[in-house]
Amino acid sequence: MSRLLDIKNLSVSFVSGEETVRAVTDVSFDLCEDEVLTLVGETGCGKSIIAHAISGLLPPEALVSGEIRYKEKDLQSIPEEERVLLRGCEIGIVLQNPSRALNPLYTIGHQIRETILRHTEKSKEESNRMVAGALRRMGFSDPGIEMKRYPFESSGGMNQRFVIASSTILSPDLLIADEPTTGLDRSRIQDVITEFERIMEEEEMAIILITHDLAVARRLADRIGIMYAGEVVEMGDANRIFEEPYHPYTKGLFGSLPENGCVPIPGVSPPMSRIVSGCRFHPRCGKRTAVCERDHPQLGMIDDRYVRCHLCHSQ
Amino acid sequence: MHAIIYRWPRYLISLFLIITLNFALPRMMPGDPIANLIGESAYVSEATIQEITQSLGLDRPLHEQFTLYLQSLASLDLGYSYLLHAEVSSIIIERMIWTLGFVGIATLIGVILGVLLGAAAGMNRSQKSSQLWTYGSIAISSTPPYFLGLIALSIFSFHFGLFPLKGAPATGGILTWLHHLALPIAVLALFIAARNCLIMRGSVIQELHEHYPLYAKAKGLTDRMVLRRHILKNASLPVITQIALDIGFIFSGALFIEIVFSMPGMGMLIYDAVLSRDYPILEGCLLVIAIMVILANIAADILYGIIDPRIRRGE
Amino acid sequence: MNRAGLIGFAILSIFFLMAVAPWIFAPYDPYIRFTPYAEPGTDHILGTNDMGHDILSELIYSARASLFVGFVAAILATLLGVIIGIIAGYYRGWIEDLLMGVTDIFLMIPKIPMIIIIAAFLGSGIWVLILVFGAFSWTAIARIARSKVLQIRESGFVLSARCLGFSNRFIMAREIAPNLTHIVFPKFMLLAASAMITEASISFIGLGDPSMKSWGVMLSFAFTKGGLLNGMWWWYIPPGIAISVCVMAIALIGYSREKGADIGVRG
Ligand SMILES: Nc1ncnc2c1ncn2[C@@H]1O[C@H](COP(=O)(O)OP(=O)(O)O)[C@@H](O)[C@H]1O
Ligand SMILES: [Mg+2]
Repeated sequence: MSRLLDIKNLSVSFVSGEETVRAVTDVSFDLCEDEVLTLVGETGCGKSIIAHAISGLLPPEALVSGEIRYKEKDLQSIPEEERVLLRGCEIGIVLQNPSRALNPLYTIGHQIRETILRHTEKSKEESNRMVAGALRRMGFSDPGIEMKRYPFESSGGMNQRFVIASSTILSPDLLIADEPTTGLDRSRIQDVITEFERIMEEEEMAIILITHDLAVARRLADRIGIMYAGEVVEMGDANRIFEEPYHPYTKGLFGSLPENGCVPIPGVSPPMSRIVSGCRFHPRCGKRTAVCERDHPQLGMIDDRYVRCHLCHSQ
Repeated sequence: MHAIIYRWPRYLISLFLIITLNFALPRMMPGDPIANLIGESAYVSEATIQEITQSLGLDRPLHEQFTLYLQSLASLDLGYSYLLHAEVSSIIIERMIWTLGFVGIATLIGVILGVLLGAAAGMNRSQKSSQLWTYGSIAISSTPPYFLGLIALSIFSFHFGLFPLKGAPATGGILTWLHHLALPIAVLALFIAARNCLIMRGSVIQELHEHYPLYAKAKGLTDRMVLRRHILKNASLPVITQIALDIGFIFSGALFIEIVFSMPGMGMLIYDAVLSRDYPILEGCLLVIAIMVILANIAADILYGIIDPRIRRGE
Repeated sequence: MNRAGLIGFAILSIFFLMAVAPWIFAPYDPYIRFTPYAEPGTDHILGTNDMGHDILSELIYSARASLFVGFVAAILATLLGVIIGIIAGYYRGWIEDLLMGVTDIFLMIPKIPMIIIIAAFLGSGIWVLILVFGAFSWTAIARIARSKVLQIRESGFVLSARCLGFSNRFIMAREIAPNLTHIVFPKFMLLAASAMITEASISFIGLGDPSMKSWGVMLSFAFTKGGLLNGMWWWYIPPGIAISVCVMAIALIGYSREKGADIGVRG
């Protein structure tokens, strides 16, 4: 497998007045073709910001540093005209909150077709056939009807699948899905998972799946990255990490799952504008020592994975 | 369609309210009801007073008078002006053509200009030019429209002698008319543009907080395409409602501009009627303006329904 | 508050000072008669009008009536709107349907023609203007107040007040109304601005209060007594500018308090 995406030392911050919000700090990872990487972490830890940074959708006031290499191109330094054409064609993104991602005034068919018309020379009729085909593959038996619907006429789960169809219609090389299951009920979540499994089987696509639903991560991920307060704290093979988490935060996160007894991690995530010194997790960590309060731990290799924890490294 | 039909009773009630008020005002106000009904400075013979009392049923109970009043309205009889010696309806129709043409042209120019500038100002909020439009619009909408007319008149007509002092020529071809009307139309259009610029700007900013523009961008559309194909259409919805509600205000502004430019429209008619206390004319004008506002609202409802599928196909 | 709002606040403060104590600023009593139609000069910076009144002094003394009409009319409309909005949002059901229907109907009544006709019948006076403006301008406030009440009526403090058995009136006045201030205030300022423009317009066609000096009345006289035709710009331009600047100051304060649609740069 060759390398598709390589992110080095990505940091994103927002400055407003006196305050600096460090949304993402020093995140590095790579991604191979056909690989599924899941990013998990509590709300506000910077997952969406990473997704937007890769697709170039950050607002103009965001300060970005580091390198995002996609197929050996540095996305930060290529001209905007080139980057615009990558979006939707080579890099597809499914935004958080499906119903709001669709324009309420256009039909589903129009909105999925828009991507095709933008990037290819296909006629409207050909595009419509393509859209119908994609919807049929997703299990909609009568795509003609679905295409004439407006977003307000379909449920949140259906809209989410329409957005997935729209983002994958041109078979992008990289698909970023930002919390595709949040806000859906159980059976809809199952539909979306099935949809992703179908994509992974049928298409050659690298996927970055952002979620805070660990069950979804477990079903779909090859590799998993755990984020806390803008940093990656543990990253490695999904099966291995689910079997045996190393970082105290990962352990806490897994412990809060229903099957593990629903024990929540005490405390709340710190505001990103006032980063604590030392390990960012230490105020909530049951095993903290003096060094945790003093020194900021580095992300280091332990066994088969990367971990950012003084305790794991000293063992 | 449902929503439009649902609003019909409100239009009818609001029309009924104005009619009732028109009926009640001269009969309830202090002073001689006869004088209130025919105008204070009109001199009529004793025989005419008898005749009026008869025809309006002033010697009968109020509810019978009201029935008579509604009957005459139904036959488009708005009363008789004893000062101008003519039917109120025929006077108003003659003047209304002026005003409608004047307001129509200025609204068209003003709305297009205002919507475009407002969209630009909303998209690039921090740009110097958009701040200029914004503050300029606030300044213009903080000025009574007739004062804008006075300034235009004193600069362009008195000082530079570019335009005639009066907004309506007695004779002449289309060029003469344009020459006379250019200044008042420009002033009214500027006033309308300023209000619409602010409304559109606010509306665009609101739409930018939505997620669909970001998703449209994620499909590979450039910022300009996102604005043209998505935001403009969505942001125009609240503007349509606002313009319809604003029609009364725009109309009033137009009336005052007519006075400044001595144009023979409804503004001058009202002005003269105020000075001579020609009540039948004032009442007729109020009714006609109220009907126009209602018509504008109905038109806005229909337009809204055409653009917004949630209204068109909604429950 | 942003920079524009602060500038607006500073300007409005000056106008308020003029309204409260015009003699500090004005060179003359505005009713003293000098030579009429004097051009601007050292004695009279803005000349004199047809009656021989010093225009600058008149301008300064006029702030009072204009501001008074603007703010009293806006207070009246705001009170009406808040009361109607709270009742509609708090009781819901048919009361809400009724009140919001009435709001929609009132929204469509053309205000200025209405004021003109009532003032023509009743005779001109600022109270006619204030009452009629207030009676027809509460609609926007009622709408936003209602939607805010719908949001907060289910919130903890309102529910607990209800459980504790406080009367509905107490809850509406003490628990709900104070939470509306920050959304109602911008609309209140814009209403005051709109009322001042309305006053200037109504006065312009001779329906102003004859016993008071206001900027609209000044403009009206300048227009009808030949100020415009004789090119006496110092007579009709200053009152118009005064209206614009004062209204703009009020509007800027209003906009600076409006959430979301923030105008201009934050400072
Ligand atoms: N435009 C912005 N301005 C300032 N801060 C922002 C902005 N967008 C996001 N943030 C901050 O960045 C952090 C990460 O946000 P996000 O990536 O959306 O979190 P999540 O992991 O839930 O997707 C949050 O703390 C948020 O407050
Ligand atoms: Mg997110």
